[in-house]
Amino acid sequence: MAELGPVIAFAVVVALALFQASAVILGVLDPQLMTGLVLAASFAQASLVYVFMMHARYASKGVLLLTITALLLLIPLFLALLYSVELPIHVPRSR
Amino acid sequence: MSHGGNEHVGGPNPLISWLFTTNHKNVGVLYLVTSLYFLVVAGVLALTFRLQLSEPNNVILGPDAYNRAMTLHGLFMLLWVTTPLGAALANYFVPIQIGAKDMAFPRLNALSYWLYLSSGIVALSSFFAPGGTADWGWYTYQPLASLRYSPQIGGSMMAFALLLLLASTTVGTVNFIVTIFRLRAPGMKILNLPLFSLGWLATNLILLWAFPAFMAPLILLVTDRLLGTVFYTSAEGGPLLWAHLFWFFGHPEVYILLIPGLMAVGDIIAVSGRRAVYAKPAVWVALLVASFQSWVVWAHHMFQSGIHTGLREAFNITTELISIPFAVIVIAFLLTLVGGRIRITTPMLFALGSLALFIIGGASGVFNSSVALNIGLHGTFWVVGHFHYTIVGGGITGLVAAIYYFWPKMTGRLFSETLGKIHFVVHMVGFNLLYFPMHMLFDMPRRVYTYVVEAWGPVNMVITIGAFTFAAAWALFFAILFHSLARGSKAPDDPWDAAPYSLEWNIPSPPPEFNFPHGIPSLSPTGKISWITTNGASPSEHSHPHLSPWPFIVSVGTSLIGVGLFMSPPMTVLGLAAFVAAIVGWAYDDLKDRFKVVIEAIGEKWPFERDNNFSLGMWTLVIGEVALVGPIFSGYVFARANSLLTGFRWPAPGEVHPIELGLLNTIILTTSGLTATLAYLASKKGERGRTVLSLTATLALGLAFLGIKAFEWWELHAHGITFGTDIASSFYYVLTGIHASHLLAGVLVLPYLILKAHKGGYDGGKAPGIEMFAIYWGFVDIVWLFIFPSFYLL
Repeated sequence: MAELGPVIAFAVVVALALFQASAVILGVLDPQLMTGLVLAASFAQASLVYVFMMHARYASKGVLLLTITALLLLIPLFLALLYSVELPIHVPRSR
Repeated sequence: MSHGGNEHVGGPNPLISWLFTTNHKNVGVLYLVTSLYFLVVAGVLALTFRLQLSEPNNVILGPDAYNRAMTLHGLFMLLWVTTPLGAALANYFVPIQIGAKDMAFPRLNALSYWLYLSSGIVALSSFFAPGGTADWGWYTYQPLASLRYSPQIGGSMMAFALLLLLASTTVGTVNFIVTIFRLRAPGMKILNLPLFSLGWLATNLILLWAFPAFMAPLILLVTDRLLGTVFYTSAEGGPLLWAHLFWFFGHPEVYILLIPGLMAVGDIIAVSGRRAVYAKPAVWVALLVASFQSWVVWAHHMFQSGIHTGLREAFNITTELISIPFAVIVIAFLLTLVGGRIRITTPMLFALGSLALFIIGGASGVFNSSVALNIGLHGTFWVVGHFHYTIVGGGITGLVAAIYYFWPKMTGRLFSETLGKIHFVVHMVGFNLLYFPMHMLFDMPRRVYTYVVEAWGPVNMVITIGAFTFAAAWALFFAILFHSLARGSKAPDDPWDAAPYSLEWNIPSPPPEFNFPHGIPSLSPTGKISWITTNGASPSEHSHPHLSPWPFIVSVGTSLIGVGLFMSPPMTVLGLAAFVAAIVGWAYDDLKDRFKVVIEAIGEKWPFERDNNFSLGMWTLVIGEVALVGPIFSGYVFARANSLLTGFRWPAPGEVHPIELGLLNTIILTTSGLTATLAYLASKKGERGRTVLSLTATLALGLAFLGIKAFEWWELHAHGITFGTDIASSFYYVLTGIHASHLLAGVLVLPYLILKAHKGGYDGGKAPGIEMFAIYWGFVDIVWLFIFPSFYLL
């Protein structure tokens, strides 16, 4: 049944959203661990939506290649911005 | 100039046929004429400030006028001239070279052009706005470009015009990628493409991410100026955020400007040398490698900004590495000449000249990649000389060669070879007089409207003489083209003996409306061209006039909105009316299936065999949009990390944005993603009722999401949290605003899809519209799945 995949993906995405929210509201986890888990859940949700709701599983390999390239291109920017944070020349340390 | 595209309409009103044309060749001509017009405008501006700099303490232009002329010259030459000049030739020739009858989406192609013109009109109108146009330099220095330091509305108009231009280019890029990958003739493998088409494919693979990546900082700039956000004026964001985001786009843009001309040069060298391109696969690999590398070199523009030493070392190395693929390309071109029976024609002279100039520009670029040298040279006329050798020498001079090369095919007229060769001499003398002495001014700061050092005077005078000589070369160029149109002798179909090399030389000059009168072109494994004959042209070729008014009317609307928004509110209303009317008319045409695209079923589609043109188009668009939202998210992380240094306290989870509302919207949006998916699956089965039901549910859920989002914004404003309260609120409003506007666009499309499904428009099991919508909606879902944790949970 073609609908089964999207329905299961939908259920998992919602469950992960509930997990994210409850983890933050309850606050029982170590903050760093919680941040990591919340972000990991977001990436998992995005992957499920990509594969099952955007039908990437039916698309060609070219689409997957373009997607991976797009994500790869962002990594240097992300890293360069993070490395630029410790920049006292431009950024006053206090207001 | 005769263009096959008007054969069906011709008749009493050729003006209408040009305004409403969707034929790729006509669109190419429109691009060509417009980009050359903008070249003249930007060139005249350059002459004014070259006059100003011709001697010390000159008073021809004051500082404000100088800054405005410089800003517009840079922005226009980069974005409204060089890129579209390549697009002009690509529009005309890429479909022919790949063996297609037109672009995959002819109306979108026309829309790209008209939005481009519209953006240019808005940008030029900013000259006449109170306070004048933008004067912050083409790089758009921050926080100089903020409202505080540059309050003139002409600046905001320029930023708006840039957004329009980026939208135009993005639409065009999607169209080209689908066209090149999905509309190739049988046997036309990627490596069978002429270098110009190969180069244009590589260019578009860069464009796909570069222009959306530029849209990201521009949106932040526009909201800073119009809505009061604080991206570039706060300590957590600031000028460095702009620098990273601008140059992240800015350096790939260099290759966007360079590659079309450079690859045309390769074709001309091969044809004029009567040899196959040496090591063509290596050239293609080098192009791909350079395209990828173009994304990891941008920070060499920022060596003096004080960025981390490790970053400077890394970008020093990556910048030096990018010279390797270009060295491969240049060496391959030179080796193509070895053993060739070379014909010295005007295009060949310009091709060789372009290659020589590019080598000089590339060599001086290696100096700039060194941190040590860069610190000394940065901000001096050395750098101006370097990038003009690269872009004008390698890019534009290559495109001049390409115009000469393609001219007989486009017009059916030959040009004067004698005049062309004289043009070449004047061009090269003017160019080198203009740009070479700039390297001698390695101690003179650029971006100054005057100077007092007498020793710089003579060199500057030589440069100015060079500038006017170069301008004379361009005047001669235009005269040669006009002379050819008026009095040129009739061109044969293959004036360069290039028929075995590329398809365009196997068809009449100028080409007929659907390009290939002999049938569908087909390539054997050895590259031999044959024709698959059909029983005459398909019926649609005879009945379809290749016209649509809507792209033009959209452009009229956006022009009026762009100018009116800043100078005349009633004009904005008129523009909005035109825009909405055009969109409705476009949708109505689709609903009635009035506009048919002529596409052959057979042909090469690797590596996108499993997609259709529509789904690939949407995939390409949303994958390109990754480069729009990704940099903004990166900026968010940057600002948030900076806040740890500045002492700004980022709101705690739940403190400003209620987690429950965020969670509710997450569930609503995810559910709408599921209903959109179910609609697509139902449409594939031809289940009309379930399709309509699922789409309607998607619409309701989308509206519910937007309603909750509007409520959240309302509450925030009620509590005094506005766009400019702090960097956290700025990012929240802009990211959720971009997301909501995407959602709104989808919601506006849904009634059309529901109506079409209800009328049985998707009964046949093929529903490209719904498939596209499902892909788009899934992307909107994904963006929200990162917004939710970013602002509500962390």
